[in-house]
Amino acid sequence: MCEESKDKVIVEVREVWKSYPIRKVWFKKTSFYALLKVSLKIKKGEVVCLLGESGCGKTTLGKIILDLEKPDKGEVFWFGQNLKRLNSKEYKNLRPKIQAVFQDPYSSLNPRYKVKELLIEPYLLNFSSDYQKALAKVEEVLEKVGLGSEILEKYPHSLSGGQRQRVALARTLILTPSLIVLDEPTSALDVTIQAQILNLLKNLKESLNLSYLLITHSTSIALYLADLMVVMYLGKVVEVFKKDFFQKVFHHPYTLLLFNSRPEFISKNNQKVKVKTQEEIPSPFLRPQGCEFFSRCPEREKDCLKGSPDLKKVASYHLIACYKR
Amino acid sequence: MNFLEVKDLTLGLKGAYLPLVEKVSFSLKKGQTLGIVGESGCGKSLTGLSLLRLFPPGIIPYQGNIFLDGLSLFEIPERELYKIRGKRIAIILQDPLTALNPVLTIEEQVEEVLKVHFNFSKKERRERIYQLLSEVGIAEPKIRARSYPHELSGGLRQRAMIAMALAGNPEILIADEPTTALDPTLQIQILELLKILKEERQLTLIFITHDLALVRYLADQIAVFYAGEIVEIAPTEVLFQNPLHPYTQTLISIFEKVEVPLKTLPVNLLNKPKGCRYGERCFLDCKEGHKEHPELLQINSFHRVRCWKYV
Repeated sequence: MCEESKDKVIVEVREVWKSYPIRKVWFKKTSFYALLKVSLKIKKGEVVCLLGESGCGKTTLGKIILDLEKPDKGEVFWFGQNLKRLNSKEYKNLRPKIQAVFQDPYSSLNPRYKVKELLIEPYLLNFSSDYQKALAKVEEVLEKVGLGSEILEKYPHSLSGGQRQRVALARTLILTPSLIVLDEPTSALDVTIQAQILNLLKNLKESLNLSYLLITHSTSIALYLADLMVVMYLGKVVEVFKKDFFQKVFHHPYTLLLFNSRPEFISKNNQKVKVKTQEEIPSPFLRPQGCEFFSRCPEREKDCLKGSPDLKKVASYHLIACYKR
Repeated sequence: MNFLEVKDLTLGLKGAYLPLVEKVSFSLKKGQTLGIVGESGCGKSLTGLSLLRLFPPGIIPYQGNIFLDGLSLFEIPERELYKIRGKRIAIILQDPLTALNPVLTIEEQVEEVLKVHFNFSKKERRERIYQLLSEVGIAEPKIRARSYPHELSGGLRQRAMIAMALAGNPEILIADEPTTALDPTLQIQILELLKILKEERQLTLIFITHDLALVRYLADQIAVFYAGEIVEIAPTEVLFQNPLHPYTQTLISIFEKVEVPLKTLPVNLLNKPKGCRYGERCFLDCKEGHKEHPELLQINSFHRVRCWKYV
């Protein structure tokens, strides 16, 4: 999305729109847009981070990339191939390459399956039905995520949160994916366990040359893992920038708000919060006129109401949707 | 005299002797804020609930006592407690969607508190509700009062929860992870609100969280919990400038940079080690720690820590 390069693009979404119907009054359907004209490219070995508040469409975009939801308009490409034109055989070959780890490890693992069954199932379905081979693969993957083979005979309920999240990760790694969609992978975990999982994710990415699509609302996690940051607000991408240029670029007011809304922790003195917002995120049902961020923007001007700003390219590493930048 | 005093509070399972919260003691003056920090399962929420003498099923107090302004909460009859719960001590729970009743409007839920504790007429109650809702920063309280919890956004729900807690005009407010379910931008709004309310109403606040950054913003005093015990307790800035316990030091460094993970998992309370409970994850390898669990040491008049290093 940022620059054309020779790197291999794993997933591309091009101007996707997605709406959900909400209520039917008589025969009239009303719907709201969860995504508006969103484009994104994920390259091999890159960590793209989607940042935003709840309800801004981060998870919807993740689902569209995973092909769990079909977009209303726009196209999704896996390895350069349009999903709409794939036949079922080609689809089956590509499917294991794009995997997901979900937010809550308590509900994403089947409680009636042992860890062994949980891990073997995807291998048997996708690769071969040789049980012994599958078991060998499972043990290899378990070692990668830092778990011992004694865990195989246990059920998910007897594992701790961190262990469960590792099992969920192992389950995706069995299929040797190219891209893993991480939907808030650590928000259900404690800080100490969080750090362990983040470290693991970083190491795995380097050793297996994985790409991640990291969906989060935590700015510190984003800064730790991401290469490319995509900030979303009310179903629109408002800013895209490379992490290396985080300090250098002039950010969108919303990005500033996100990054400054935590109390300063590291500094020696107990600093005050830099930016405060009074308003809450507007409802996507009643999309505001003009710039979506107008009601909360500290730099708003009359001109901002003339229409919703488009994403424009400021530099090769920076795109922004704001009239004032 | 201390306004709230918790002495040797020990709670645990009903059948077997298994303490989940062990010998927790702290005291607070009126208007002070205590922050309780720790990982999940370390007993911080249990401590919060026990201040209201509420225990989840299967958990009973073994020993200890809580004094509210000299009144022993564990010795008075249950009937007397009704006058204290919600009236003198109130609680805000973590997830407003599960804590609010989905089939009652916000108005009905706040009104219930007023009905129990005060002798107001219907009109007075109504006015009081609107006043409370606008105090916690809900715009257009007359419309919002009539909506159901699912119709409100996360931030508004948490504000409604706070309004409910404040309805009885409490002196002590326990906030059990009030912002964990919220977005970071809303988090800071709720924190600001708590700070303002604390000052205006002279509330004694007990703020339970696992986020050290939030606790620094609000608390005067911080208690760090590990495996059901206080491992360190000190005034906020003292704790941040000079953390003594290895666990506190690691927690603070995790926030500074993510790269310092703790080894292994938190200790299993069913299977406590013989020595120091933090021993397995500790970066110090002390001899005493292998044999015996340390006591809470008084370093100076305001700083207590549980570590062999400071004996």
